[in-house]
Amino acid sequence: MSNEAEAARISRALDQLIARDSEVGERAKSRVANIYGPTATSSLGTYDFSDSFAKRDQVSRRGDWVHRNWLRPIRFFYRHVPKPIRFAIKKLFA
Amino acid sequence: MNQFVVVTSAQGCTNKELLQTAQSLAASSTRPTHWVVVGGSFNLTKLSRHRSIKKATIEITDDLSVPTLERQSSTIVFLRAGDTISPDAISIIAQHTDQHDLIYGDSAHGRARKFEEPSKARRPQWSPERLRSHNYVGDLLAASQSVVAAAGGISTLATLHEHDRSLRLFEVCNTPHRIAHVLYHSSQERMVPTASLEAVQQHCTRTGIEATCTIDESMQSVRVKRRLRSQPKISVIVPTRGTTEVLKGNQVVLAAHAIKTLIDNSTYQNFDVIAVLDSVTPDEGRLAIQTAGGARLKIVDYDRPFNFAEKINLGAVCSDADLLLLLNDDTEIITPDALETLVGILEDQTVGMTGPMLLYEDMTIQSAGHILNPVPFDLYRERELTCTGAQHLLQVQREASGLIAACVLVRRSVFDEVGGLCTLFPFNYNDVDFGLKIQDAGHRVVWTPYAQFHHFESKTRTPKLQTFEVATIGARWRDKLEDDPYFNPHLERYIDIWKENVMGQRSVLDALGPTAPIASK
Repeated sequence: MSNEAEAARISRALDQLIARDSEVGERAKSRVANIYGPTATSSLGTYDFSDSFAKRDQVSRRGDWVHRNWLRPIRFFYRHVPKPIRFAIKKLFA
Repeated sequence: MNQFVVVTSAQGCTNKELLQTAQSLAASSTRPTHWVVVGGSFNLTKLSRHRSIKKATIEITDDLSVPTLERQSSTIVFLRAGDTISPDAISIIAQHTDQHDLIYGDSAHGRARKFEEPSKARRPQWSPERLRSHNYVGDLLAASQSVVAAAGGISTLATLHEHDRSLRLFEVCNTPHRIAHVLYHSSQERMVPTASLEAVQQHCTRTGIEATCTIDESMQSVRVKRRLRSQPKISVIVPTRGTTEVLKGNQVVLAAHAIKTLIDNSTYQNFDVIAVLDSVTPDEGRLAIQTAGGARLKIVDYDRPFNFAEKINLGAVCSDADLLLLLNDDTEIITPDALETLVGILEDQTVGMTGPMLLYEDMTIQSAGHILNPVPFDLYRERELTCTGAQHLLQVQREASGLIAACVLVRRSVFDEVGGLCTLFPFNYNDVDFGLKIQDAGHRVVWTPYAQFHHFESKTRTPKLQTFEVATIGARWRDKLEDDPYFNPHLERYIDIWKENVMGQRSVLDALGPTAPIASK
């Protein structure tokens, strides 16, 4: 096969892939629109992730220390103290 | 009206355990009509006379010829002796029995340690590959009478190992379903799924899977290694720009290193390599790649602005193999039989794409498949390889919603069917979209821990999410992003691990206890 013919074949094959992809994509889009409605997107008018995405940074800092054994009785005690004291502690830490 | 019959095997259990289960049935908001206790030598009359049971009017029997058991409308609930059913479990199951013939759900397990709340086993939706590895569905299964009959009947199923029972039931059911709700309570020891090698071997025989099965007793997981009927040709597609980096102390051209290690170390040798080179590739890089690939190599030049998806598609259309291995240039094969393992998974015609465990240079996890939470994450990224994951999630072959395109093996027919990688995602999410397209077309995507590759991607690399890419992935797959079937809606959102959504792990305030934040009071 000549270079031009091969290039044309590749170009055709790529176009076919793109056409097939947009067909699949359109079907997916109409399914999403059926579920959420055509305008069910974020305030920006398009889909985006919520601000909670920042949580990932928090958890990647590994907060496992709160499960250390010495903290368990304290947590247990805290959970069972009267509400006003619990609130006072919370306010203190806040 | 649908009637519920609870079936419990009393083999090896104590009176106390049986009574516990009985009391939970009596306390159920929708009570079963019968409780069939199979095996054991208990005095069921005495149990029936127990105050709470008597009041609840549940008929306790060991007689399998009760007419209700034959009724088509009956639902049979298998419950382990000693486990207690949640008060609302049967009424919740009843809401789903019209559409589904086999149901399982989440469970709560004892107290992990003093001062701790019971742990919960949150389960994914129907995952047949995972069920072959271990009994991830738990000990409570609710099946329609027809499914139970087709699987061998109550008397056979009740006394089987739970993994065996689950496999037999799932083989014959049509519409399995997970209910994301705690359906039963059990001991802490039952938190981790169990496995039976014999059960999986028999399952393979029944379903015509030609495989060698082995069990890891410590992890309670069975490996089903399929025998290859043939060794189909693979085209390894390596998109690269000839980058040079230091790997293990040596300066190497990444693509050349990936290709050379694959050729030298893989025990599967029926592959060619298609390197898609950017026009900016330096001559020395090109030469190194040519030397590494030798006669197997075909170079395809790419002279357009960077678009990862387009480069992969270009490589794919230039190949003639039935299987395509999409391989980043910053990778290296670890397990020599990785390609055999991946090809073996594709022996199952319902699997469209499969991928290995990817590890950083320091052997921490780079990717163990994607979760959509709703942001797509690589599960357990940067965790130690010794990390087993929730319910040994990382130790078993299982379905995933997506796989990182740094290393995946995909059927060519499937690649063409879904239109390859979407060129609307030049940088991010082309693999997420690809995985979802494959599943949307009815194929399964399977991740395996038994094939391992290095992916030397920088740990500090934070992919810059492009607004248009997020918008496009949301427009196409918002429903999938927000409810990943291989995740659970009760798990913590926006993180890359499988973690119960409870407070107590991130701040001092959270550590102090499960109370609402001050702002909400």
